[in-house]
Amino acid sequence: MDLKEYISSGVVELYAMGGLQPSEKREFEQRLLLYPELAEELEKVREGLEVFTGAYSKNPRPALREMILGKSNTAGGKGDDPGKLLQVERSHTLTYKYLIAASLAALVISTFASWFFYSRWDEAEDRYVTLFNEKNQLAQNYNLVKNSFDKTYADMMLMRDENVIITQLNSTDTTHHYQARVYWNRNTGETYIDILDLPEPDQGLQYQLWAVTDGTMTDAGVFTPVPEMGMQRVKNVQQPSAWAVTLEPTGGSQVPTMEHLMLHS
Amino acid sequence: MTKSDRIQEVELIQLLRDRNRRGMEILYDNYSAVFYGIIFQIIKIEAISEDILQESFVKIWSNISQYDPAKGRLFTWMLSICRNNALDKVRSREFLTSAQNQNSERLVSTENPSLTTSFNPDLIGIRDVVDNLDPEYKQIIECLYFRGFTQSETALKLNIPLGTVKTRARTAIMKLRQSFSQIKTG
Repeated sequence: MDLKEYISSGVVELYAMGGLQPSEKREFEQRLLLYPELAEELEKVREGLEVFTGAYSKNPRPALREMILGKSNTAGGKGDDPGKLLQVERSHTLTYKYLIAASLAALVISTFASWFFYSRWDEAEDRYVTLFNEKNQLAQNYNLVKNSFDKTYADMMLMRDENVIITQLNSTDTTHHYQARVYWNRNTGETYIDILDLPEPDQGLQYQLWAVTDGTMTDAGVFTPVPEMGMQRVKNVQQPSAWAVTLEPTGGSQVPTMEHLMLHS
Repeated sequence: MTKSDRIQEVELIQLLRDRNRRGMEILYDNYSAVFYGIIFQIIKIEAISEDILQESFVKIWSNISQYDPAKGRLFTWMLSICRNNALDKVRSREFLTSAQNQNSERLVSTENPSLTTSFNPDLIGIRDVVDNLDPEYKQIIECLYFRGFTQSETALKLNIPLGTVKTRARTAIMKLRQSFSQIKTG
């Protein structure tokens, strides 16, 4: 950029008089920082303008001097002259006072709101934990009921199956009313025992079911009497003609101990 | 400004910053006529000009801490406060409606300064210079400086090309500067 040309374009004079467009003004101010000659020229133009302005000097009414100097106290913040400008000043300080009051109020309100919402949140958190636990409890209960139902349903389907042959077993000792039922599927050989009434066996002993096939006693598995368990699956059996339950050492025996025959069909 | 004026300016700034009553009196006694002059030149109505003068002084006193000597002289800063206050007033809706009748009158070119100003022997030579300035140059300063027109508004108002506004503004102020320096040296 040719600085001399720029200066002689009249841009300095226009800047000094405030006539430049915003973009030209920005450009001028940037150049002002770069070129000291430009700043010097601006200073000269301003001096010229100021001398020119001086030519229009006009003394204000003498009464204005005291009026205006009276405001100086206000501007300094210590006067008490109630005038138009005092009101202007006051409205400024008033604005600040309002601003301060408003921000203080906002602070109080927001502090209260924070505390309020925090306690609400805390409360909600507690309720959430309670509900969460209740939900888990319900799910557990549901699972229990569901399992129980599934078992019952399976048992019922077994009883209703036309291929399942049900055999009633009664106690050998007629002084007791021990009894059980055997459910045997003649197609698949699946066998279940439903204990209706049997005493707890002694320590080291277990009940064992036997199937009588072709005159021999075949092992059909050991079981534990838990009446509420419903039907218990035991070993598959082919072509049984009769059933018997004996007490055997835990784990069962190869051959039944006939003196401990508890039930038979 | 001469060197001694600069030193006075530094002292004056300090007094104003200290909110010293004497500083305010010096300010008023030295500058109220110039300030009132430019404000009146823009507003042309005495009562409103007086209000703006008051407003400007209060603004100078309360904003003196914002004045940055690196950006220019105190006088330049103060003068721009007065000029801007006056221009803001003139552009305000309230003023435009109330001063509608005077408006056409106000659009007429700068009055002869010697008719409107009170007697001040220091200004005699300067007034002659301004009085003798060609009307085309006077008009350009009037539009830009006292009306606050932008370059393009001035071009439109005076019906001259945009480039001419710049060159004429430059010539006008060059002429003033030359004449003023002749007064000083002569």
